[in-house]
Amino acid sequence: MPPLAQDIRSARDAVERVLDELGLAAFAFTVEPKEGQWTVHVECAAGEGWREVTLPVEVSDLRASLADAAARDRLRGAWEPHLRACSRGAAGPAARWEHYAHGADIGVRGCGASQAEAFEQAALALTAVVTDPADVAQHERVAIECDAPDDELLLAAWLNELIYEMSTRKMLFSRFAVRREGDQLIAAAWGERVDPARHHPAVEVKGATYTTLRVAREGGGWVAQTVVDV
Amino acid sequence: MELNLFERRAEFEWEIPRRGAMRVPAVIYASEALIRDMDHKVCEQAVNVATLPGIVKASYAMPDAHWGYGFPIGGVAAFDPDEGGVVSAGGVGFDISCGVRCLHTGLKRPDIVKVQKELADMLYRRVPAGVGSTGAIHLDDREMDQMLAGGAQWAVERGWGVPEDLERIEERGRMASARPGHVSAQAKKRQRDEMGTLGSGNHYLEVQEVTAVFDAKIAKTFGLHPGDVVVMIHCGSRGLGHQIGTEYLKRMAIAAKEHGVALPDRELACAPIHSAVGQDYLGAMRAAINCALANRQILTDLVRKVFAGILPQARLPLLYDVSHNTCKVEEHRADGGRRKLYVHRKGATRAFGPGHPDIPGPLREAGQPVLIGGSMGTGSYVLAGTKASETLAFSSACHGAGRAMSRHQALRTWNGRQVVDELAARGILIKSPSMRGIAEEAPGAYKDVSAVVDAADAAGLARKVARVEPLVCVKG
Repeated sequence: MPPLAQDIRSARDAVERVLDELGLAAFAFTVEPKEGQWTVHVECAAGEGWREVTLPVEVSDLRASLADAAARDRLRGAWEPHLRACSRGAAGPAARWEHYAHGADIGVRGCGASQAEAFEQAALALTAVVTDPADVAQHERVAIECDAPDDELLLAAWLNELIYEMSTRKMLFSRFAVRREGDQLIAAAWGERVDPARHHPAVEVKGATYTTLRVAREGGGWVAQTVVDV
Repeated sequence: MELNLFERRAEFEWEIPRRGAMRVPAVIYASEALIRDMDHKVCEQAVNVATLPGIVKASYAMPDAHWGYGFPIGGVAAFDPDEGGVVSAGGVGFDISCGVRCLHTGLKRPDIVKVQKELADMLYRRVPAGVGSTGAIHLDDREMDQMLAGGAQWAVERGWGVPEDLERIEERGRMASARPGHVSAQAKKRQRDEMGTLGSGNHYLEVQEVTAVFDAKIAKTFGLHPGDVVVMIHCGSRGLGHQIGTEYLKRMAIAAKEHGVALPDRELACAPIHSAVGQDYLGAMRAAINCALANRQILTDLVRKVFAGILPQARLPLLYDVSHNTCKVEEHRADGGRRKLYVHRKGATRAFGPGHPDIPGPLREAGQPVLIGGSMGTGSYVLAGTKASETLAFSSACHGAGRAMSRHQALRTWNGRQVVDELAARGILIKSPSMRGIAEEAPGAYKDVSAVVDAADAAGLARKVARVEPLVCVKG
């Protein structure tokens, strides 16, 4: 008999709760209800990239974990070794983002311990132009790659790729993992489909400009900023 | 800005004489009060534009100029291709061919007041607005290319409008020499579901009433009388234009060195008109102009259908449609002769004077209608192009009010609900999916559009014809 939508929903709730308790920094997952053996595919931020992990589960264990703390502890214990490479907790202490004023448009600035972290924070600032990133769930992962001949054009390219994904997928993103390989940027963004009733999106971002564009070491960390056209 | 930066050539004309790397002077048209309030960056950017190769006569800024990216918003600059002249993606902007169109309705204020709420609700329901909204029209690859080549003509052929509409659109609704092949698959994908959508930010659809007429003769020619109701639509080329702007800005920034163009700042990224990148961009940018013209044409059809359902006696012929983010080839008098120039208008409206052959016959002797959108809930204006504008700024005028404060400051100052209630108390209904968006676009966040229009009129760039004020406003 095929599983009921209700069963899959409660299985998702159970998985999300256990992964949250494991303290993963950023993750997305799918639950596959196969005959006999269900599987959970997890994608998590790991270092400057991300990992994909497949976890075997018993549907009865998942169901039990929703109501029973001991069953949840058992699942956590069983999954933990598979998820060791995943990043835990919030971003580093140097990580922050802000907006700055520009005539008709708006400046986005990310700061971080590394250039990659500054790029991730600049992306959060980009989302914040549209809505509060705290209101954006991380249900879906989108892979992003771009390149440019220097750091600054790469920042603009990264933000423009995100703007493109936001526009064509009608999505908002609230978690990012960025990795640099030479001229290339390899990244993932986690988010969900825009819901006007919940996100109250203020404005659509048209593109990242080169105005006040800057990527530089500053005070022991990195800063990455530019003006976006809205 | 400090007045001592300028030499005052006339009461409303402020010049920064040629110095350093400038090839021509920079000229700002504004009142003394507007100049004092203007961001210093306008001056810096106008001077930067004056250093670009092949620029002719001067780098101009309109009375509503403010800090843009590369070019100031409100900037006008013309380039001669045979003197190394360039085309700049930043000089057109991301929202290629963003513009305003105005429709007559044949109605008066009391006709609207009776059905105002119903009309506002239906317009809001039928015209997709805001982030994440999609239109009812989905184009396959073939139709996309036909739209990009055909503009509003394509839209009329598909039934969204009547042939008479085309006479009242710049380029008769179709920008020639568009090259859909130079528009990337990404740009087309971004547009696939966005035909017939309004967008967000400062874009809007308003039902307005003519509240003042300044030039009765021209107003009559334009078909505008006190108390008349009109509809104004402000929007552009949507995702397609934004993506083209993004992609060519990058290509031009990377290619600038190859072309030996020394840029004071990479945000000025440009390419010689006689270069592969320059030609590719022109072909793609013209396709985006067609996209904007088609989009405003489809929105017009949506508006007409809503009116037909509620006010069946109304007819909504087009007064005119202007674009204020473009680069167009035009013939102008410069340095003693007539020359074909590439005129960039970024946040500036073309304003051909009386008698110009590109103005539709019935309006020709009055000058081209120049449509100036105000901020949400304040006034907008209809002006007419003047003969003098040709000499002053390659037949150009302002485009809007311009922001007076940042979005953040606006968000701290106003609450969206409060803005809606205050405007409702004044008889203006606002419909929008985002209260935050409304707060960011609050009328007080913009400069006084009247001051801008008065300066344009006094400087001779365009002649003030009528003022209109909103009754209904749909915001993205």
